[in-house]
Amino acid sequence: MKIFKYTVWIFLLFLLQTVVMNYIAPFGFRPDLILPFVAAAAIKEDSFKSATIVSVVCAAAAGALSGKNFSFCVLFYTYAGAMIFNMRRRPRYMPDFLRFLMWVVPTSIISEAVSYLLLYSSVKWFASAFVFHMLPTAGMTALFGAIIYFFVSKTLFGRKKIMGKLTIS
Amino acid sequence: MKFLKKRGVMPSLIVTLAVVLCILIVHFSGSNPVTNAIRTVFSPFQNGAAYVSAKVNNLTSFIWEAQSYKEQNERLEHELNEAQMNTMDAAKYREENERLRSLLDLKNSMEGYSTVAASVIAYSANNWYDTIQINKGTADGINSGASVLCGDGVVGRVVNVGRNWATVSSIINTGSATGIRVSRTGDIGVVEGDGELCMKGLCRVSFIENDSSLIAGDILETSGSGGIYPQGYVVGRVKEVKNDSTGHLSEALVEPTVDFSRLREVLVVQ
Repeated sequence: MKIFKYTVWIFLLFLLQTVVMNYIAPFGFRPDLILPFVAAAAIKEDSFKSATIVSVVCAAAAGALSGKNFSFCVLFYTYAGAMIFNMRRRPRYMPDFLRFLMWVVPTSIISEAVSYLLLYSSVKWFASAFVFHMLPTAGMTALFGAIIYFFVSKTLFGRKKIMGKLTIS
Repeated sequence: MKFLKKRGVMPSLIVTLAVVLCILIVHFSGSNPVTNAIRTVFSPFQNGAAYVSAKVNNLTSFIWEAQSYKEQNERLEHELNEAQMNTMDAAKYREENERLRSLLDLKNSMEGYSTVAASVIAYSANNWYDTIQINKGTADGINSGASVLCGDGVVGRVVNVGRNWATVSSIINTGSATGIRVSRTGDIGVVEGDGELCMKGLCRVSFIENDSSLIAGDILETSGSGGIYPQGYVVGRVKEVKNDSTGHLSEALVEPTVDFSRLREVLVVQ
């Protein structure tokens, strides 16, 4: 059942990312919906194998569908997922949601920065792009990511009662 | 070997090898089988999603922009009204320009006469134009009995005058008489006002030879006799000619060339 839910989630997210976001594009910025999903799965999952598989699948699909550099996408999403999983308990004494935001924003900035450098092979307008494009995009990614995190938590990692006791679905 | 047995190391190595293998395939084969496969499967769904998104986007754009359409519509309506008013004003100014030019031409043609231009400020209280009031009077040198003309022809005579006003009796007014000459034949006569005809804006030719060959359409101009009106200014056009049983002229109705309902500026001739 969880595999089916993951499949549906990835399918819908990629449809939204590749088609719908073109129309929505709040304030002209298209947020990354895949990175928050990978991050949410990495934080919520208890198994490195599960988290990595989700990352690899999202990475391959992102590389194929995003239009960005395939190799970069595959490597980035795979290792982002793996890295966030390994750091999912850091910093301590902080709710998962805040940790999620704390990892999504810089990861999104890094993704945008590397994409920019790969695309333009120049740092000529990097500062301007950083301020007027990368930061706002990371902000939008975090905003949409918060919504994704909420629904991922409920649908993939929600707790249900069995025999009167709460347990993970 | 101990290192490999550490938690997470083996899976990480497997993932890394898989990714590197993928990249190598892409690099050396020149094509990307993963991309091809995923896009092939995903494309129909993207088509459907794009179709639905476009429809929703059109609807939301319409609703979202409805307010701006409304404001734009109001603004354009306001501009259109202003433009229409400007057009009407322009037409009015053009008309006034033409009238004043005509009056100026008339004034320039009257060398040797003392003339005063005046504006019509009031009409008689009834429904026809037997008398009109102008805005110049004795202060401007206007005296009772002065003839009044306009660009279209003869208007009438000053019958009452004050310091800054004067009443003009039009040629269609009962009791008025204007010496005329038929332009075509040279016949002499008098155009008189008539109470009944005045209501129709017409007047009558009288004191003209019975065997006159007056016909409808003949132009009647001032003859200069009586010393009231200068010679040669158009009075009106014959509208209808009635003959008696013997074929002689019995009555001729004249339509003044001056449209009293649209009279705005006149020239008073001393």
